[in-house]
Amino acid sequence: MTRNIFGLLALLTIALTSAVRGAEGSVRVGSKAFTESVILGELATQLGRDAGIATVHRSQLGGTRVLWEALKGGQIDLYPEYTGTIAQELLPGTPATEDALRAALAQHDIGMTHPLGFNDTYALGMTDAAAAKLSIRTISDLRKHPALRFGFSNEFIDRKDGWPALRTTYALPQTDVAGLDHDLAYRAVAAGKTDVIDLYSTDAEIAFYHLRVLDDDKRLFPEYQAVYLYRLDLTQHAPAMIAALRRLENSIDASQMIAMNAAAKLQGVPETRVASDFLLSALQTRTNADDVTLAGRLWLRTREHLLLVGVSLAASIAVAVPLGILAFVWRRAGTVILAAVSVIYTIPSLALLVFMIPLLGIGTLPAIVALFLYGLLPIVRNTHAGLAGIPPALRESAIVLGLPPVARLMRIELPVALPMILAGIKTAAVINVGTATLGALIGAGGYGQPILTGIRLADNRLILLGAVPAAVLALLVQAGFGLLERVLVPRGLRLKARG
Amino acid sequence: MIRLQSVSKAYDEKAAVADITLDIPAGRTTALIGPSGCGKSTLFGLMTGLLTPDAGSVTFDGELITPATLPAVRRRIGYVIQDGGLFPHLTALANVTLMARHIGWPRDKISRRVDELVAITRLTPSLLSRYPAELSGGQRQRVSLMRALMLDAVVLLLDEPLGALDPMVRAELQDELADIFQRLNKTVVLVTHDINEAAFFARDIVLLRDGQIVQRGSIDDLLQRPAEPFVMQFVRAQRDRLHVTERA
Repeated sequence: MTRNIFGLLALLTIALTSAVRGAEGSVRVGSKAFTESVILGELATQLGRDAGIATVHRSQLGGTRVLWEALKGGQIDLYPEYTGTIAQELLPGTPATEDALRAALAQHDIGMTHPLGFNDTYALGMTDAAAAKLSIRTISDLRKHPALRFGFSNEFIDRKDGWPALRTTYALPQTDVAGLDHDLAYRAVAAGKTDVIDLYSTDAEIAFYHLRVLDDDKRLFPEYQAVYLYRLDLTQHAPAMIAALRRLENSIDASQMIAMNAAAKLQGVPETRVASDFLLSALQTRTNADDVTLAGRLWLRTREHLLLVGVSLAASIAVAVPLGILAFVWRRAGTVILAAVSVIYTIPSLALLVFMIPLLGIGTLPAIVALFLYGLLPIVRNTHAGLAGIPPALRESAIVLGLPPVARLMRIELPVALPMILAGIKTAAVINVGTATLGALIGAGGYGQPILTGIRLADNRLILLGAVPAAVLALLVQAGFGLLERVLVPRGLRLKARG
Repeated sequence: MIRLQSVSKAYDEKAAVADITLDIPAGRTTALIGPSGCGKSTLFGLMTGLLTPDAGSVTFDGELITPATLPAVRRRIGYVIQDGGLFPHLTALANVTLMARHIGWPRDKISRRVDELVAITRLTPSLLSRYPAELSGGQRQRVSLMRALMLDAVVLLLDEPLGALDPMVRAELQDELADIFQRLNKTVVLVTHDINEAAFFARDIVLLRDGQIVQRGSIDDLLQRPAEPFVMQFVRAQRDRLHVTERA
């Protein structure tokens, strides 16, 4: 049984690793977790295919760090980026001129296209009605209203060219600054739950939510010209891809980008279709938007989710049950083991996923490893507690009866602890199903993918498309373990003793 | 049969057994009795090898009990504790035959032995397919006794075997057990806190207090020639049921 599980794990690991590396000669395009980046990623992907290159799009992988590390690490070959981000975040200290950036990037074996034609810079916005009431037109005007509540994206709060620079440059007195998901921030400001949010100047929602973009009167925010970053080794193994990217240089202006963002975000047109429509009208290139049916997409997500849950849970069980036994048998190791798995469990799941990126890159494998680590605690703890909870009289009876230690463990202690161990596995499985939705953030797919897209597009139907199956799967897992318990646990353990 | 030679055992520097020498004669029943904390359970643990003495030695049938000899010794010991100590995930039959199966007895030898034991303990055979939780307290003790006798142990160690039973069942089982011990001619060590039960089963009673032997002898010795006032006190405290014992 155990040997079978390990064999299966080895096979899956090989399959996954090769899937992450991709086929020879293919190009992997990455994009960040917001609509504009996804559209730009999709444009590159479709043009790549048009040039006859096998191109895959790993869409909405996460934030800047994730994409940059994945690009340097070779898990992706190119992704859309902004010059301001490169100068401020990726290569701090580099002058924000195109030539200086290109030279600095080359040190990392990364190439950069010319700007695509639009500047997507940071800006602050508030509802037109509120701004009019307080007569706020510029960011400097905010100084007079220290009670205003700021709701900024987490990335904006953290990065040096974001909130810290803004506060210093404008001497802003506000203290009520909350971190929000960028896509939720619009709804928060529209609903009056926050007053000022950060935006990107090409965001589709500016018009939709009747927002006023405050004038950056001290010219704080640098230029954020959209470009593609690509691995310089593409010039060897896929030069046609670079030629394809060049076709997008200087061909998208701000109004076109806002229109594309609006189509995807507000009208619910899939990014694949938005991209192919643009390529047809602007570059006269007909590409295949490969729309997938709803059922097809659901089935794909289900398969991805089951892969994440199944493999990580099997690995958790295979490792955690022996660890729990070890912790029980060898008390000194037990303290260390229980403390270690507890510490892992206290790491926020999102952080654990991000820790995996430098080690294992992006995709299914790091997500499975993170889920596996997460699943250890409930199983180790319950295995240990189940064994430790066996009444001393019972254990002594087994000893005096003459059973040697291994036979005692196999014939008496593990079977008696079985209900407890199964309960631990059930807990791990249910948590795993829920946590696996976060795997989408590092490109592992699963039910988290529609949820992520749904939040990004403010599309509740898409959120439900991921959330409902995830909840149903959790309930099925729960029910399945209930059934398994009836089959595996001897009747004698389910009965209450008579007097 | 079992000999404890100057054994001492302490927990957290508090002596549970202090320099006790005790001979358990073969083919007879010896009762260990005393108030709680007197050391009788510790003595019991030393005889089963669950505890190792801090000082002194324990020999079983002339052989020193060491980690090396313990496995062989334990197959010659039958062990019954309060409420049976049956494994809840195994049926009564699986409990009884567990050790025989583990050491690879052939199936027909096992079933022959089970039939003998059913006859000895007068257990209703259909109960063997039940789980411990489906048996009454008295039935559990019969099954536990069957398990103890399965490999034909020469020594039976019984720790408060009837402690959890109501008086009616207890009296019935007392009669049957005494009968079984007599017929099988086993060496029996019985731990109890009940002087009546001790007197009922054993002509040889060892009264303990604070980890030491206060007096060893028959119930008559204890009643008529108490070694010290404590013996009188201990016996008197439970005297109200003594007529049951005297009849036997």
